[in-house]
Order: sequence, then C-alpha cells, then structure tokens
Amino acid sequence: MNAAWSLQARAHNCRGLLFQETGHTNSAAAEFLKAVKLRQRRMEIIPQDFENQIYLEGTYCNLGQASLDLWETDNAVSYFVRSVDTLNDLIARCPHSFRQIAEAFLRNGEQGLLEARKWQATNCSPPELADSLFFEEAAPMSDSLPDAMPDPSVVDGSMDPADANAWYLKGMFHSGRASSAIAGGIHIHAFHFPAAMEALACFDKSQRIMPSHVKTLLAKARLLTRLARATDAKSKNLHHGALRKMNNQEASDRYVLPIRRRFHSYLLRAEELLEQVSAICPTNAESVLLKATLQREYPDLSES
Amino acid sequence: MFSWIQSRLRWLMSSNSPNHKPDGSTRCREQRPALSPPDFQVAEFQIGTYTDLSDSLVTTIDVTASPGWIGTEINAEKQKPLELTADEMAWHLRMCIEGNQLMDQGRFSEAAEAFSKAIDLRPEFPDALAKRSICYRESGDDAITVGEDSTAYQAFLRSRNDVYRFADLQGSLDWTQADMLFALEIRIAQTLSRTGRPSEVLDACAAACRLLQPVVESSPETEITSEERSFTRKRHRAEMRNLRDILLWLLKNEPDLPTLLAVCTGCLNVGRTCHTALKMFDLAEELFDRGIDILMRLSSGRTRCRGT
Repeated sequence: MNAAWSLQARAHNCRGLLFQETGHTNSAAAEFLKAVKLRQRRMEIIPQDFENQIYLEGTYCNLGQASLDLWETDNAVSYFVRSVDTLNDLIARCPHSFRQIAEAFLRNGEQGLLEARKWQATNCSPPELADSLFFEEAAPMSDSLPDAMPDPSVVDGSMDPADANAWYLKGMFHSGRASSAIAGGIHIHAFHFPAAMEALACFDKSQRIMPSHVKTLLAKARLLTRLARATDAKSKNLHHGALRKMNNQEASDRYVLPIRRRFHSYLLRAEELLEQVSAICPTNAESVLLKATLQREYPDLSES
Repeated sequence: MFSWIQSRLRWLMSSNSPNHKPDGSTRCREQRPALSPPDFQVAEFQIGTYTDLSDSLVTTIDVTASPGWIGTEINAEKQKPLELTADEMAWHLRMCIEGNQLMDQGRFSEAAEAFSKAIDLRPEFPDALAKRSICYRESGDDAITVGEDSTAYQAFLRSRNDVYRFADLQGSLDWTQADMLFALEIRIAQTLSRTGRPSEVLDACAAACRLLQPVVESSPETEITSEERSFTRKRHRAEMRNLRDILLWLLKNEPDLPTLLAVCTGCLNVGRTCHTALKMFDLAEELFDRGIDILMRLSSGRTRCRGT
C-alpha cells in the first residue's frame, strides 16, 4: 500500500502539471498539495526512502511554480527555498543512483527561486482588477435561466447516467446557458464561464461513455472554440488593465500567462476533437468548416 | 563471363553486408555485446516542473521475458562466412525482386513468403528482414479485417521478431524500428484482448509503454516533411486512444492487485505522454482520473480489511 501512496502522489502530480499547462492554476496547486501530503505520509512511515524524499522536493518545486502563477511570490519563494535547501542536503547524503535526479530537481528549484525573487523584488503587487484572472474565483453570476430554457435539474431526475446521449443533451442545455446570460434584457457578459464549465463536464461524461459520439464531439468542439475566443478577449482586457496598474510590461505578461495557457489549451482541444470527428466521419462538413475557421483565426497557434 | 557475374554479385552483396569487403573476401564480424531491451525509464525534466516516473510500469510487472527479443546471441552459424553459389545468389536476388513487386501490388502474404525464401539463403540480409516485417504486419492487418484474429496474432508476432532481428543485425534500435514495434505491441494487445488473454495483453501493453517515451517524444533520425510529421502525430494520437481502450478492457476483467497497479501505472504513463508530447489534454485528464480512481478503490479496500 505504501507503493500505492507513491503512485497516487505521482498521479496527483501528473494531474497538477496538466492543470498548470491548461491554465487551471488553482486546481494545479491543490493537486500538488495532495501529492505533497501523500509523500509526507510515506516519509513518516519509511523515512529512509530517498526516492520519495527527492520527489517530495520536486513536488514542492512544482508548488512553487503554481504559486508564482497565482502571483503569490512570497509563498513561491518559501517553497523554492525549502526545495533547494533540502535537495542540497539530500544530494550530500543520498546514494549515487538518486543523485542525478536530485541534481536535476535542484536546477529547476534554483531557476524557479531566481524567478520568484525577481518578481518579489519588483514589488508588483497583484492588480486588484474588477475582473478576476481565475474563473474558479469569479464572482457568482446570475444563474437565472432564460425563460425558454428548461431547467437542467429537471433532466437530472429522469436521465440515465450511463447514457451518452443524455449527457450530451444536458451539456447542450448548459451550453445554451453559457451564451445566454442576460440581465434585464441586456447582455451583461459575453460569455457565462461557469455554465460553459458545466457544459464541458457533461460533454466529458458523454465522451467517456461513448468516445465516438460525433454529436458530442462536435458540440464540445464548438463550445471550446467559443471558450477560446472569449478567453482570448478576456486575456487581452486583463493584460491592458494589468499593464495600467503595474506599469511593467514584463510583469503584466507574466500575470496573464496562465490565462494565455488556458486559451491555448481550449484551442488545441477543439482542434483535436475536430480531428477525431474527421477520422470518424471524413465528410462531416461542420468539422471541416470549423477547423478551417480556427486555422484562419489563429494561424500561428494552429501550426504550433 | 561466369567469374564476372560472380564477382559482380559479391560486390552487390558487400554493399549491404558489413561482413564483406568490396573485393569479395570476408572478414570476421566484430563480436558485439548481446542486445538487451533498452532501458527507457529515464526521468524527464521540464523547466520548473518535474515528471515523476518513480513507479513506472516496468518496475511493477515482470517484462523480462519480453517475447520477440531474440537473436541476442550471435551464434557460430551467423558468423559463418557467406558462401553462396552464383545460382543461389541469383535466386536470392530474384526472390527479393519478386517480394518487392508483390509488396507493391499489396499481396503481402505472398511477398512475405518470397522474402522468407530470400532470407533462408541470406539470414543476415537486413533489407529483406525489414521488408518481411512490414509484409507480416500488413498481412496481420488484413487478417483482422476479415476477422481472423489468430492469423493476425501470428503475423504480428512474426513481424515483431523480424524487427528485433533487424535491430540485432544493425546493433541498435533506431526510431523507425522502435515506432514500428510500438505499433506492433498495441496490435498484439488488441488482438489478444479480442481472444481474452489478460496477462498477455498486459505484457504487450507494458512493452508498448516502454517504447512510448522514445517513440512519441522524439523524432526520426532522418529529415521528414511537415506533412509526414503531421501524419505521424495523428497516428500516435490514434495509438494512444487504442492503448487507453486496451487498459480499460483490462479493468473490466476483474483484475488482481498487481494487474490493477500495472494498469494504473500504464494510465499514468500514457496520460503523461499524451499531455507532454501530444497535447491530448482530454485523454490525459481521463487517464489520470482513472489512475486516481483505481488507487482510491485500493485504499478503501485496505480500510475495510483493517476494520475486519
């Protein structure tokens, strides 16, 4: 079971890296913390396990990076300092076979520490912008559905959770909500992110039940395309606001880095889904058209 | 005239075989150390992040008996100087040409037979081995389309053996061979899963996972066009989905604890490669979730055991 803890820590670390790359920084930090806890638990039971200790410090290094993405520079510095100090100590004590990996982690930690200290020294505090950088923390929005839209909870009661089509339909409801956030007849937001997230979760479930459900793949690709466009616009607005408040081009670039990652991942996911649709149904006109549109809109990103 | 043909044939042979000098005389082949399956468990680092490979699939299950890793010993028979008569050499060349023609016509089983005849005469002729392995693989795919799983399985095994023999002759496993082996292991696992042999499926999955990193995260040694790169990427993405399906199939067969852990590590390995190399975020997320789900189930099982 101790080996399973190590494996589970690895799984959380992997998931954290995935979240980090797709701009879900809060979730990434939470995953790294889970991995840290599991490794610490293992360390309490088997203190002489150098491999576990080295990977624990590697996870702290990842946690430092996530903190940096969250603009928590003090926390980032403390994680990196801990990681670097402990790894230096471990390298002096650990068997030769672990040294190479510990040294590689140390290099990462030192590099991260340099960066974290650089931003700490600039005194660029996180800009208190009206709009949050992280969607998970966005202020709750009006959840009232447009009159014509049925309440998805009604569907919940009667739906079969093993039915891909039911999840697809539920996803469509939420997808409709995402584009219909209206208050008093005026569009208050171009896009309702929380509803879009719910729709994505439903499409994910449908896709897992039936990976070749073309309708789900296409609906998800359409939604991701809209998310990519909305995220792109949001990141540009945030960058503009951050630049005004921080008065530092490099710092404002760094500040919007996670949201740019998120934009990039939406686009890549959409393209991949369209590729899947083309593989299943090569004559599907919608996938061809949407793919061409994406390539025209974002030629550089599509090529990369 | 006859001696001219003989010398010409010897010269032709020498251009393909390291054992022969251009003047037709032979030299002893250098005794290479026996090849062993490469250790692909190299930890990978990214700037500011690390990828944890502490519990890779190979450490969890026994893959030392990797089938197909044959020809590790260079036996005396192989080192014997090649002495073919002009008639034999002509026959060998004829079979190679016939094999090529049959391959071009898409008659892979017949082409494999022609190459086999050529290989019987010159067991160390790498071109024929490489082409025969392709023919076997293609004939295996043909067998799958007509529903002959056992024929397909045998064809894929033969193909794999030829790739290993080829690699043994070359002294190393280059990207192209590793890529072909990776696809073959997945084909073997798919074919076995249809006949319901979980332990062998797991072996094949383990072998595919070992080849995953060097194949997907690196490129061929030779220059390739952007179209070829894009095609390879698409193919690898499809293979990743196949690998995911096989891992999920293993989960459905009421696996024991070691198998569960092996499937979990497989999920993590495949998911990590999907994320870092192929940018298949959805699949990576799903596989990580599956891995965590398995481990949570194991943990809860342990709690119950304690209670009792």
